[in-house]
Amino acid sequence: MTEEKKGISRREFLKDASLIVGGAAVGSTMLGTVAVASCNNNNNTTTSVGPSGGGRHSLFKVNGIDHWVEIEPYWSLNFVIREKLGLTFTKMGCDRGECGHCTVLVNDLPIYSCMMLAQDAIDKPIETAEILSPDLTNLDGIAKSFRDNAAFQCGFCTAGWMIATKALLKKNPSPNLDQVREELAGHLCICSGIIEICQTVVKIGQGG
Amino acid sequence: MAQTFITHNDSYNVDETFTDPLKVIGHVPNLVDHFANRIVTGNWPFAQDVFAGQKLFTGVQYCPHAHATIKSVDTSAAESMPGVKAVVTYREVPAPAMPRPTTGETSAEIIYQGMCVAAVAATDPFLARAAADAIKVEYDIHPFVVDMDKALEPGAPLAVNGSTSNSSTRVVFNNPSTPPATGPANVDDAMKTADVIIDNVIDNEKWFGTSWASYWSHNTPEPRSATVKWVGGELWVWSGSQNIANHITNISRNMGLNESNVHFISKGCGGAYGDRKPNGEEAWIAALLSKKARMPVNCTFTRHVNATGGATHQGHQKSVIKLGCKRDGEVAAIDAHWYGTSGPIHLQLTYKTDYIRFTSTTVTINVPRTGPFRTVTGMHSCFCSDQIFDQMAYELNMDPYDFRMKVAVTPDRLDQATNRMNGSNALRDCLEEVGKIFDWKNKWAQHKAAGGVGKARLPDGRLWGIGSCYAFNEKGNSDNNRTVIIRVALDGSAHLNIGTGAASSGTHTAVAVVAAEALGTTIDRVNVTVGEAVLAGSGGNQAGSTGTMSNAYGAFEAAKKALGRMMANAATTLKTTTDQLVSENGRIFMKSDPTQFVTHAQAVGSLAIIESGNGAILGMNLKRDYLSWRRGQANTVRSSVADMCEIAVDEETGEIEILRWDMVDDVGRVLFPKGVQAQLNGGMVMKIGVALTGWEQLFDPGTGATLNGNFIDQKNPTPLDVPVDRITAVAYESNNAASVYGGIGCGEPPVLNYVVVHNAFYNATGKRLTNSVLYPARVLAALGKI
Repeated sequence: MTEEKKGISRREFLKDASLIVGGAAVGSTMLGTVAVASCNNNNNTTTSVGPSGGGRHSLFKVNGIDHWVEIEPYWSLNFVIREKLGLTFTKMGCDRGECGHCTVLVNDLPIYSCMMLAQDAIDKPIETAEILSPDLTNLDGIAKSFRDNAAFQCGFCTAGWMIATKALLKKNPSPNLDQVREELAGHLCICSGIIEICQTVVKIGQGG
Repeated sequence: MAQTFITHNDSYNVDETFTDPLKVIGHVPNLVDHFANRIVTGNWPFAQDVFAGQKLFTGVQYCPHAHATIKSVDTSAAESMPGVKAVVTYREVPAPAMPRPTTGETSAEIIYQGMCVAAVAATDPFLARAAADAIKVEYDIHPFVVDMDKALEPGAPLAVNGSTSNSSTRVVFNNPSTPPATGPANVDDAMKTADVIIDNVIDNEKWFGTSWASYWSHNTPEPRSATVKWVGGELWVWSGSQNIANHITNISRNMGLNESNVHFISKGCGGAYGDRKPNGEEAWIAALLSKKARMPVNCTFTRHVNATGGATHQGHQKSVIKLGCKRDGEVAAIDAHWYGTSGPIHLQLTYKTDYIRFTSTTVTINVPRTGPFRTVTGMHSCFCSDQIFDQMAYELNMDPYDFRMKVAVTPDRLDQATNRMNGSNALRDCLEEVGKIFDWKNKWAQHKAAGGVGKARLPDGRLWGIGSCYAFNEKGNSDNNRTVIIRVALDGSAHLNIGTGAASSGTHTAVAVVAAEALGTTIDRVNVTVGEAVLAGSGGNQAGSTGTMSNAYGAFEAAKKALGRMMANAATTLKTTTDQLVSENGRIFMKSDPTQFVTHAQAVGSLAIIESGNGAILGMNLKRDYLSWRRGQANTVRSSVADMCEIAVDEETGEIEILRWDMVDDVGRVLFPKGVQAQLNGGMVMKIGVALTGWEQLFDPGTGATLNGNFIDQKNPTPLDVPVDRITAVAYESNNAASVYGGIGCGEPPVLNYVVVHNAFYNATGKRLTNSVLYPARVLAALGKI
């Protein structure tokens, strides 16, 4: 599943998409034709999105699902995640690597997705905040703790904090307050939930 | 930090409506799931999230000059670029043109850097920005002024062509308005009776009596953004603001539409303080482009422009105060003059005297206008007011705590600005409570024993200081309560629709709590929809920390109207009268025999079908003045807040370390504890940002350009800047029941008192820093080190 196709035409892409995935749903949207399909392939779900014409047919492994997307070389990872895959829990705050709202995990590392070219994330495991809430009544432990400790207000920055917390807790399952402040220093919350957020992350590490 | 509340049951302002044992208010432990889950996960739809994969993106050509006139715009290069679907210029806006309308401004005049001149819609944001950059604009560049003091100098450039002056001055009030029968006739005579006078001159770096508050951008984490779609002749707009009704008006006027054909949906509102968008340009730029391209269009301002020209700001403020006191601390008179670059200007009216003259000068400079913000300009007003009062305590050789206690206004005083009774003792109460938490008296004694002002040091050699401060916050006096519709369905569950923009999950829960309490049901049976003014009608502005107060009023009234009809139905069923019934936990039962009851579903039942035909009972509340609501006398609605702070000052680096910061804030009644605590803590963080981390917008005096339109150089606090375990924020329940169930909100007061750091700085160093942001360089300059 790591094959990358360059310069594939719109026609070729649609042809491929319909061959790769049985029962592909090809719909017309205002951006042009978009093919969105799914199948069970070794227990993975595969979706294909595109084309806008002349881009690079690339694989994005997001939240355990393989997505084939025709990308342009100048697109950011944030743009692909939000606009091509529809995963809008990840926000775009500053578009210049300052606020942390667009954070996703690439190879378990928190990355500002606005600062990473999509082509640099091809075929790498990516996790977005969607993985923390399979559905709105079934929140992951991190999301549930953020909710129950009121560690958010407007919610715009929260997904970035939470996915970074996932990476932090994987590296250090029980961080103290200073470690949390240090590790999450790349995030802003202007509302501001910083106090609740830091306390909540410590509490999660303590099993609370 | 433990979550604690101080409850203080005063005897004043208690309405019998609020004295019943409360079943829901204050008892809901967590945010209500169905609101909170959507917001915390990221599922809550912000403007950028709408029509993912199906919309065009906007690039905007912003004017790089602070003051100019547009001579020509050439969009031909942009129109031929790949991916471009539509181009518009300022000339195509029906009325007024894209450069925003202000008095004396012509359609093609640029009056600050970052005004929108032209815009492009393209298939991705990168192409859109490249195309916008390809638009060629010719300007006549005019002299400009971006410094408030310079704008007041004779011969200063005019910020707006055709105007005659950059400033206008007015007397806000001059009390007493008529000479009293006894005592001094006016402020000037009263000032002559003072034993100590602190006067000042306009020299903000040398004189403590003048305080200069910096200009800073709202710079919300969610950039200003709107996604629009045309459906026939109707325009649908998704954008974050708490000021829905005004934006509908604004958009409809600019687009030449009936207001009824504009649907404004504000769900997510990132960094949700107030309006967030003075004119809403992003919505009508997107609308123009969308109309041409026949596709949904998103317009999102860049971070630089969001900080520069696209967002609301706290403007410059400067105070010049003359304060006279008797030797025992009694305030003889206050003569205050304020300068501000726009927006409301307040003098803190926490000080007890009948002799106050307050004049203000509004100054126009070539920077974006001030707009709604958290506390609007309240925190700067507090900063500009307070240092001189703090200094007076030292001049009188009084403990600042004792001085503040002596001069704090009392419930029996008329408010100098509104002529309503102050009505609350909470100002003194908050100071007293924070003094206990902080252990002020002991610390003051220890500090004096260690050498006092400018001499006390910590064991590590750094200078040590403590400071205090208190403030008033007006609670939504400028606004009314919300239009609210409640629908109690056949199953007895209730759904509220509130005609105001989203704020945060706390607002949802607080309103749901009030509705559940009023209706006599449980919190899980109430849902709240906000941000869809098309359903609820005009919602008005939510600025002024009115979210809880005004929404709760509407929710209460609507719920009570619906319940009244349900009670009547229940009375018929139970063969009694409504005064013999009570509603609790979703049941309406006999007071004398609780086993005799009907459920809310049964009470709605037949009545709903007969009356509305849609399977529900509707209750509705329209806007009205709440200042006199359920009150014999309209009091000024204020909340009080007091802060105390302990700092260390490093004379070698200029760094200030917060050793401890405590605050007690009067919130009336706590409606939803976790929401209140979150608001209070958030305010503490914001104050740290304003006082210490550099949240200040800087302008190039040579070009008028913003030098730091980003999050790094105009810095919001990060976790490393916030001493999480050294902050204590406590809600004080004054039972100052000027609101439904006594809750008076807590969005604005917690951010007011950043000046407490400046007061502690004086205590530590003996120097007054009159600029709001305490950069190390400013500290070192004040200490004579550089």
